[in-house]
Amino acid sequence: MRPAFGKVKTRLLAGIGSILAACSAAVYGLYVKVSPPPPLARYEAGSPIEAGQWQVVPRRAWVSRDKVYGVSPGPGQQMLVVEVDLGNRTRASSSDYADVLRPHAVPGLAPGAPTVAQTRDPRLSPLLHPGLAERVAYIWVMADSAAPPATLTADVVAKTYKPRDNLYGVPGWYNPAVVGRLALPLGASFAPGGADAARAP
Amino acid sequence: MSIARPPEDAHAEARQGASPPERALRDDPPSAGERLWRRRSLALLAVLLPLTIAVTAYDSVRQWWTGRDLFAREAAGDAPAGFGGLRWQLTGLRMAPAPAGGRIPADAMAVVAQFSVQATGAQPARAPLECVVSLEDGEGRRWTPTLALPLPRASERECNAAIRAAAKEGGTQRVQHAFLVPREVAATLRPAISLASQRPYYLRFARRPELVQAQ
Amino acid sequence: MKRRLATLVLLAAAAAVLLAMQRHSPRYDELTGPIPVSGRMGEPVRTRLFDARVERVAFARQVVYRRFGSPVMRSTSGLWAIVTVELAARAKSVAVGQAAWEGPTGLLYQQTDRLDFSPGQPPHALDPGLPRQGRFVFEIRPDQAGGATLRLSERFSPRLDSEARIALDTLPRNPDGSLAIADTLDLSAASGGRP
Repeated sequence: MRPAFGKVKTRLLAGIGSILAACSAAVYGLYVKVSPPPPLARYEAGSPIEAGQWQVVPRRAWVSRDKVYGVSPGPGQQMLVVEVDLGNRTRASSSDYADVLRPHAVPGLAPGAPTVAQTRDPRLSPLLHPGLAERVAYIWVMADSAAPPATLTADVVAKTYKPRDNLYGVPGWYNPAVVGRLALPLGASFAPGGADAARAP
Repeated sequence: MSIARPPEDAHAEARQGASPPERALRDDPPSAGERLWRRRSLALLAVLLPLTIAVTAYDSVRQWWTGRDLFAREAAGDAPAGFGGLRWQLTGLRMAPAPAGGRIPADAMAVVAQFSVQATGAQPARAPLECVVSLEDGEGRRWTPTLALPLPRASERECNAAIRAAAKEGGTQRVQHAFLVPREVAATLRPAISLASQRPYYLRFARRPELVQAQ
Repeated sequence: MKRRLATLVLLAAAAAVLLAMQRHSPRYDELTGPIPVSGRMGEPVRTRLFDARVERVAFARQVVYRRFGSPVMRSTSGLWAIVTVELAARAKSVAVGQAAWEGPTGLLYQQTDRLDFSPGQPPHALDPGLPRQGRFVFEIRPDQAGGATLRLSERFSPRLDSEARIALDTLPRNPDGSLAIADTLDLSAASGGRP
């Protein structure tokens, strides 16, 4: 009969690896929950933002009740328009930009994806090619009665590149995460196509 | 654990209680019965392996087999032919030279094929599903309908809509399709109807296109 | 001692072979992906469903075409590349709709979607025995013009189907050797059948 104490010591030594793993996982989880999140980068009009697949340079934002770049609001609606320059940083032509900007604290904003219009031609959801930046307008629909804020804050969302995904082993962009916060003054209604709507970004 | 045994029996008992592989490891020659069964197992492997491959590949082979139009069922003359639970009749097959330009390449002949299709009343084993009308030449090349030719609006419709209407309402439906074929082979082409549920069999008519003047 | 050494060497060799196999075995996408058929400009490239021969490439800063009678102009911050290809179906009617311009550094430009209702837009419907010309228009970055490859297939991302990859080696050049870029190219001129 071995002494009971020796048996416990043996078992403890045998399980030291798993004990350490469990403890470190618990400590790390606690740390992540308790520590404050890192501060978000702040962006303004004209500052280039590296947002994963896209390089976003915000230009201006306004609220409109008239037709903007070929998009008209429905009855009882107005449109929040944000003009940005989008540059494709990926290898191939892509139109995966619907989720790049997420405005928040805008009263009366209809949920759903924005309509994206190209400013150069009257075209919706253009295909953007690598290395050719284009000016596009993100258009969200708002209720007519809502009063828009003086400054628009929007989260900039970026996906990260995975050279091989877990299912098919193909490269792709996954895991959208907020990389910064954009603050744009919401101006009065601009006339699109005017002198200050530059053709080339 | 094991009950203690007297030591002098342990070796013999251990030997008898050992499994056949252990016995073989201890230099016992395999008995005749064992050798026979080993040979039989090897022979059975030669049967089991192809069988396993057949069972796992059966679905793929079946899909491949029913994905192609391999065997033609000839329709006799101009009489209606039964195919896929429907009765098909070729009512018109005309061709005329197509002027080049726009979406029509040079040296093209426009062929218009017209059919009538009706449900036979008997329920088909499977719904006909997709219908493809094509023109076939002697070498196996196929021409499927083109969108480049404007057809006069008539009571004819395209094949899929017609067989759905025939199944739902009954009666006789009319089918019309237009094709663009090269002028040199146009006179040798034969119309064929292929139904997704009947593959690899397809229906082929014997009539060749007749030349008419273009309007 | 010798036996132990031999075993260790064998183990190391096996590990090396396995590592090489793991690093270089093709992934699912490559195994089930397009089967490339390579060629050069001016010579016919035979794929499973169609033959393709690139006749010429033209560059322009703007393209114009007529839509419902009124002229439409499209500008770009890069370059318009218009590739004229002679296409012929082989054994059955096929519509070639997918084309991409692969630049020398690997950037992949899909066909432009900005030319609504212009004449001669893909997919080009082909019938056996009736070859025709098809035109593919791309919007590319100017430095991706030379040393590029045209990728043609019936549909986007062919699975276990052939894809023509034609090296675009004969580009229009000025007498001084630079790339010949027209100011405006009219797309309404001769498209579709043979001119």
